Amino acid sequence: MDSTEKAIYSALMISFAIIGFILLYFLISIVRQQKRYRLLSKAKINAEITTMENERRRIAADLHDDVGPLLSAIKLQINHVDATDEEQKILLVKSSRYIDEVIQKMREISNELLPNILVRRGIVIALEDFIRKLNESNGLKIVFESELSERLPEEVEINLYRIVQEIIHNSIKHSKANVLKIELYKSLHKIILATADNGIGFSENSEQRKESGLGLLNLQSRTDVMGGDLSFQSHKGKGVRYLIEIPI
Amino acid sequence: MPRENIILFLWSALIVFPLGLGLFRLKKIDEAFYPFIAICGCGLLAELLRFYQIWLYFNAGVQTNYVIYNIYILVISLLYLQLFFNWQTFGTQKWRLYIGWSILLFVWLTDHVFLGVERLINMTSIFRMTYSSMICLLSVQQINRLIINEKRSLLKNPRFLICISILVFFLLYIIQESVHLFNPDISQVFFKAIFIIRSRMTTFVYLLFFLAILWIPPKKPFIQL
Repeated sequence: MDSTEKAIYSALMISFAIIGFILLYFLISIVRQQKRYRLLSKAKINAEITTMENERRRIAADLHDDVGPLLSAIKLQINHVDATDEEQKILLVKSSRYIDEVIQKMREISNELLPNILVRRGIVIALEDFIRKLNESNGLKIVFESELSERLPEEVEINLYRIVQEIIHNSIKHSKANVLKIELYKSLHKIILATADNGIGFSENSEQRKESGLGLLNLQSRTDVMGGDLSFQSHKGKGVRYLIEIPI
Repeated sequence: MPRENIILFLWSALIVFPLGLGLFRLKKIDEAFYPFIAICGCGLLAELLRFYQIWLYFNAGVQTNYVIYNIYILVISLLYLQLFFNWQTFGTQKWRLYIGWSILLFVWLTDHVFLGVERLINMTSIFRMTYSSMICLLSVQQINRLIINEKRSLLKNPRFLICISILVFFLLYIIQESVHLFNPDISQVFFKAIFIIRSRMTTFVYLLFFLAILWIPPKKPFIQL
């Protein structure tokens, strides 16, 4: 190397060192900022979902424990009223029937807000019950299989239940599927929820993708809260497959 | 053959470790990373070929040309583009990949055929600089995506590690190629000195490749109907 080349070489060496240092600083800074953002984001979603679930629980309890007994008391009193003529009797029977309908509707709302069976008997029984009712009333055939024998932490059970509800809702409303398969099982240190339907599927920019966008966000948020991973596969005309992995 | 060349080859041949790990985990890992394993495989082949050419030069006095090496860089650039497509760095529609491949092929043909067929047997820089820049830009795009979307530690994310490695590797590559492009009369000693720096950095890059392959997630157990 002559003296010019030596000078160029030194300049290059210094440049490499400076670029290397800047890259290293850039890398450390990115990792630190991303970690901070990740924790903040998780805490925010966690707070939102916890608040929403607590509110649902409170409304369900109020409906079940306060409004329910009051309506039953009203019905009891109506049944004890002595009607003097036929018109009044018909009116009382009608009122009693309306109250029955209100009580029934209120139970359904309370159950949708927080299924009693989920709290008392766990995710598997609750999902079996929910799917049995849907299979009776819907065009979508849902096949549910689970090898899970143990109870999971309550918040995990609630979030998994809501995720399954959302997936079923998406299958009915957007994917036009007629078969949906759901599997729930434990694998090593993970709980796996896997689903597959035979609907129209969606590509990255399709209308179906946009329509179910909020639902997907909901699935993502609930999975994030549990510290899990959500993956999905879909191609136009080939259905949608979801996979949710929750560490336990 | 000079001892120095053997040592340089041994440093470069360290790619055998990420490749070995990749082949060992091949059936278990996410298929989106398959082009990356292929890139490592091509990298090893290129190093072996380069070593063989140097061996021929020193032991038989045979001066080989760069035809196979020029084809190698085309293959590797197409594989990198496929890798970034698999990661959805530039969308999911297949036509985007085909356009990317067409651009690379066109630049390669321009550099090695249209500007003179004799360039095919020589070391040229236009295609090398174009594809390196393209891959660096895609890496930056992927890193930005990961910063926003990734929920886990970036340091254990194979995509992040691969993109950082690519940035380090190809930025040095671009510098080396630009020195070659604008100073064709530069002395071999000077060029070798730069090559040695890149060789050391390549070893660091291979270490990152190894870690990246170690952390490639397993295939997702999606169910079928």
